[in-house]
Amino acid sequence: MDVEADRDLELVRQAVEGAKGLPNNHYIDQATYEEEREVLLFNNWAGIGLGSDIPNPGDVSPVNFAGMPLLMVRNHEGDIQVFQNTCRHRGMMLVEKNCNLRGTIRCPYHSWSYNLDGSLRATPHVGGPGMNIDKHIVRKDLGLIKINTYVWRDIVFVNVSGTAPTFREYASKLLKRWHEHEQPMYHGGPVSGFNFDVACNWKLAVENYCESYHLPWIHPGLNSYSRLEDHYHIEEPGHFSGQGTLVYRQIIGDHGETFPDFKNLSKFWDTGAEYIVLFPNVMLATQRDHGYAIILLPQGPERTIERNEIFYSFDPETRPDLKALIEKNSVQWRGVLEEDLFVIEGMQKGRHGIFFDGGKFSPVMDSPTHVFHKWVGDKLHASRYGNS
Amino acid sequence: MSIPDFEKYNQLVLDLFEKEKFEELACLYLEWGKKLLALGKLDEGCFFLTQGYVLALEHGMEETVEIYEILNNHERED
Ligand code: FES
Ligand SMILES: [Fe+2]
Repeated sequence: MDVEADRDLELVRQAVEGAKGLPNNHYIDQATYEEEREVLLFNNWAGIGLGSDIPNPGDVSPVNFAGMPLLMVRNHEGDIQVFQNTCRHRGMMLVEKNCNLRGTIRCPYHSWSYNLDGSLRATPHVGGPGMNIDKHIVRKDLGLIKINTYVWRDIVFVNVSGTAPTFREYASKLLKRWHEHEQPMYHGGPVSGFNFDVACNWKLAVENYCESYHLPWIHPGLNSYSRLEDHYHIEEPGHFSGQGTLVYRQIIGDHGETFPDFKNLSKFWDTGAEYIVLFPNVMLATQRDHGYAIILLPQGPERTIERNEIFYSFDPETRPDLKALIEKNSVQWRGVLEEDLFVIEGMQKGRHGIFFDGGKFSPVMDSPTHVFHKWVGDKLHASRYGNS
Repeated sequence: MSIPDFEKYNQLVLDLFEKEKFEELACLYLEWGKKLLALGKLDEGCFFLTQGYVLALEHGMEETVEIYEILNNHERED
């Protein structure tokens, strides 16, 4: 790493009052993107998809995670495991599209076949036509590469490098903060999931989500019932940051109906709601009656797919009377979240200005964003020089 | 290899592949494989049984067990 890049990172890692934001190369440069892909996305626990993408035993779903081919599998016992989606023979991509498998995963090239637990079951003609064994082909050593997997709130998290602590340890502070919501959550169905294909670096979505400074300007409608002074910062350096509100109001249907609350919540949640990014790439909302997750799927330095997914305290199948309200809620959230897109795309464009220096934080308003930048800076520094 | 009914089976295989009827194809391979074994054509028989085996595994078919037994008995699978 060059001296200039290191000096820039030192500025990012300072206390917010004197800090600069991450410089342009962290948003537009391929080499920096690749370094961050490894250090930020692969070495930590990142979200890649949902359990409800593969609802039935035998369902499999390929995910291209920042260029890495992964395969989410729900086995016949109903458990979810992620594998590298690459055949151990000649490296063919195993599964190209979502499907249900009654038996093995068969490689489309030479038909090596894997059980849903990843073990290699068959190696047809490997010892010549009609001979399926060979002393040099040791099947037990040739199973699919397992990726550390954990499902929380229906989000499938992976630690690609295998070097992070367990998910529950990694996310322990957030799990503790939101322990009251540690209860079943149900995806709202097709209307409750929508994607945005955004022309920006994935970090800009995180940075915008962390802060409430932009609310009065970007979400004037939201602001009418969610005033800036009713918001507070959420900062857990090294783990997550975001914002909370004290005046959350439930959405009400055309016939006065509301969503049922999660069970046994304390008084705080009557009007409290929190919006937190669990670093690196999962943006979450926790409220009394529903929550959502936004999973950021980086497609390159300047392009990101945002998966927006809304969850409820009840199984929507059991409450047809709330179908209209679920739809209304999706429309409302979609509207709010869409309002942010021109901002994050605009910040991306701004980062092609060669004199932009990473920007100046407001110590009062931008500190949650700085918590994220400092996390990025600290991780990159530790990866380059060890923890010092 | 000289195989009886080769043209007939070949055409059936191509059709089933084309129509993606893999379970029927597995059964066809099984039938053909056994026929060849009965004629003493060990390598050819095991070749087609292997084709059937892989498809049967993929589609979770009960024929997997029978084919495995045959291949295993001939030390072609373990
Ligand atoms: S590459 Fe998968 S079987 Fe050959
Ligand atoms: Fe926003």
